[in-house]
Amino acid sequence: MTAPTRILQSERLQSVFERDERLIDIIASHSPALAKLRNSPMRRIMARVTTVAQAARLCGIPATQLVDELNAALGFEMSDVSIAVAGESQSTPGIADQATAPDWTRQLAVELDVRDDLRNGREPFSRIMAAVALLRPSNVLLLRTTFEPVPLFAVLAKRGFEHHAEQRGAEDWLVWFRQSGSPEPVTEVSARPTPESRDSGSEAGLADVVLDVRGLEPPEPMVRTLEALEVLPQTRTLLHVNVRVPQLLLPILRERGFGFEIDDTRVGEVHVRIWHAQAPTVEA
Amino acid sequence: MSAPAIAESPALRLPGQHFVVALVFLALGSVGLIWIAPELAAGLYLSPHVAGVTHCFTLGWLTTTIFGALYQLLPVALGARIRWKFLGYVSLWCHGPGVALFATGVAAQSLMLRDAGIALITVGILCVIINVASSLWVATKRDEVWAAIAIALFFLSSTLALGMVLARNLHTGFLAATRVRVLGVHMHVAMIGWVLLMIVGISHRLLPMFLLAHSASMRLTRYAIGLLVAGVLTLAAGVLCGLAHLPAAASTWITWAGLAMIEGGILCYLLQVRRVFAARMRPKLDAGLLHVPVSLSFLAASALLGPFVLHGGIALPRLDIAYVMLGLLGGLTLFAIGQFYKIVPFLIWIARYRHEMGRKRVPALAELYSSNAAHHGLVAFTVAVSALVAGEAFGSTLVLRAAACLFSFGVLLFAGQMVRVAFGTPIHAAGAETTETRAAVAR
Repeated sequence: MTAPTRILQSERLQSVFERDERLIDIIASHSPALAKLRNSPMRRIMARVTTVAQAARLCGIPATQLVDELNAALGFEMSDVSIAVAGESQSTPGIADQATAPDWTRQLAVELDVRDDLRNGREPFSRIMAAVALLRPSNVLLLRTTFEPVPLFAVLAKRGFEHHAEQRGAEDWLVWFRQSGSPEPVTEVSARPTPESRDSGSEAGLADVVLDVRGLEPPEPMVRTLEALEVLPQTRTLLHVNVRVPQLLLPILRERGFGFEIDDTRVGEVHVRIWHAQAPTVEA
Repeated sequence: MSAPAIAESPALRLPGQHFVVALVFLALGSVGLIWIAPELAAGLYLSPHVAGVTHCFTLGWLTTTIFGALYQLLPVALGARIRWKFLGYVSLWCHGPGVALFATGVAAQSLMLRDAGIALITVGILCVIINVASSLWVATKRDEVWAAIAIALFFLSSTLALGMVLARNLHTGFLAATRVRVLGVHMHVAMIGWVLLMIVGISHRLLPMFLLAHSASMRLTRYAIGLLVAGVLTLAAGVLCGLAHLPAAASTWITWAGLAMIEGGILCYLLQVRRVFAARMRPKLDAGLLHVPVSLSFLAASALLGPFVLHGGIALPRLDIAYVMLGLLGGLTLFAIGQFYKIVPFLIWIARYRHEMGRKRVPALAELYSSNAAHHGLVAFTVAVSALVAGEAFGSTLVLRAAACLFSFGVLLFAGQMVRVAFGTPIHAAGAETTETRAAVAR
C-alpha cells in the first residue's frame, strides 16, 4: 500500500475529492460559486477540468493557502505542506482587467446566459460547448455566468479560443470568447514513430497528439477526430482514446487515406492510433 | 495488442427501408385503434379486428424496427458484419407485405389472405434468423448484448410457432378452453421474450453511450436477462402442464413462479436503467432520451398489473386489455420511438455529411429535427396512453376513441419529424442565430 501524498496546486479537484469527499466543504466555504460542487452533476464536470490553483483563483485566495488548508485537513504537517508546494508557481487571485477590454469584445456577439443554470445547480458545460460548436469563425461568444469560469478558459484555449472577462456585479460576470487560431493538440509527446517502434512500444508514448473523446456524445468523437486529422501534419500520428471501438469512424478513415491500429486490451478504454497512410515512414 | 474485428455498418438503405415500413405499420395501427375502440371498450380482446390491429403494432411496427436496428447495431455493437445483405432485403420484402396480408386476413377473417401472410412472414423471419445468427456466430464480442439478441431470436421463432398453433386452432378448435392461455403465452413470448429482451440488450449498449454514463455498473443487465428468460420459459411450462392435464394446482404454481421471475427481470432492468441515468454526465435529456423514462414508467405500470391480470384471468377482460395497452403502446412503442429519435438522425447525418465532417462546419444532430415537436409528440403519446387506459377502465368508447385520435396525432407528429430528418433542411445554428439579435442589449 502506498503512503498518502500531499495535494498539489496542479492536481484536479476530481482527484482531490477522491481522497476525501469532505474536502469539498473546505473549498465551498471560500466561494458560494464553488458550493455548487456539492451538487453531484455539477461536480462530475467541474471537478474533472478544474485544478486546485484554478479553484483558489475562483475563491479569490492564494493557491498556496488553499493547498495548505486541504493538506492540513488530510493530516499533513504545515512544514510538509510547505515543502510540497515549493517550486510550484505562486498563483494569485485574478481579477479581470476591465480597463483594457480588447476591441473585438465590442463586436456583435452571440450571447449565452448560464446564470440560472448555475444558481439552480444545473451543469451548463454542455450548453456552452453546444454554443461554441455553433459559432462561426467570425462570431464572438458572450457568456454570462455567476463566477469567473477559469477552468473553461483552459478548455476553450485548447480549441483555439482567446477570452476576456469582466465582473459587472455580485454573481455577474461577462466573458467574451473568440477564435484566435487553430486548436492546440491536447498532448504532444514524442517524435513520429517508426514501424518498429509502433510494434513494440506503448501507444501513449508513441503518439504525437492525444485526443481523448471519452466524455463526448456521438457523433462528437467522430467530428473532433476528423477535425484533428485535417490539421495533423504528415509526419505525426493521432492517438484517439475512446470507450469503444469507433466502428463508424473506421471506414471514413480508410476513405480519407489514413492508416490505423486498434488496441482494445485495456478495460473500458480503446486506443486507436491514426496516421497518414501515404507517409513515407509508415506503411498502412 | 489485439486486432478487433472491423465490421462496416451497412449503408443507410437497408435499415432505412425497414424504418419506413415500420412507420407505415405504426400509422396503420394507430388508425386501427380508432376503429376498434368500441370492441376495446367492450373488452373483446379475442375479436379478429383487435387481433389484426395488434399485429400491426407487434409484427409490423416493433418487429420491423428491431430488424432494421439489428442491421445497424450488429456491426457497431458486436463487430459482426452482416453476412448476407441481400437476405436482409428479401426478408423485408417478405415480412412487410406478409404482415399487411396477415393483419388484413385476420381482421377480415379471410383464410386465404391470412395463410398467404403467414407464409410470407415465416420466410421473412427465417431469413432474418439465418442472417443474424450467422453474424452472431462470427461475432468477436460475446457479451450481454450478444446473449440478449441470440435468446431473443429463439423467442421470435417460438412466437411464430405459437402463432401458427393459434391459427390452426381457428380451423380445428383443438385447443378448446386452453386457447386463451396459449394466446397469453404467445403474447408474453413475443412482448417479453422477443421485444423486451431485445430492448434490454440494446439499452445495455446504447444508453450508457448516449447518456455518457460509462462509469455505471452494468451488472444488473445479466440478472434482468436471466430472470426474463427463465420467467417466459416457466410461464410457457405452466401452460404446457395445463395442456398435458397435470393437476391444476401444479400448473397454477408454475405460472405464478414464471410471472414472479418476469416481474423480477423487469425490476432489475428498471434498476439498471436508473443506475445509468444516475451516472450520466449530461443532466439535460434530449427528446429521444426523454422517451426512455416515460416509456419505462408505463412498462412498470404494466408490470404492476401483471399479478392482478393473472389472478383475474378472463373474468376481467378490460383489465387484460389495459395491461397490454400499457406494456405494448406505453412501454415498448414509446421506447422504440425514442430510439428512432437517436438512431435515424444519426444514420441520415452520417450518410449526408460523411465527406464534409472535419473539413467544414456541419449541422449538429439536433438541428435535423424540431426538439419542440418531439417534446409535444411525447406529451401527446403520454396523455393518449393514459387516456386509453382510463377509457378501458370505464369501458368508455368515447374516451377510447378520443385517446386513439390523440395517439394518431402523436404518430403523425413523429412521422413528420422523421420525414423532416430525411428530407428537410437543418435548422442551422438556430440557438446561436436567435441570440445574436440580443447582442446589442448585452452591450
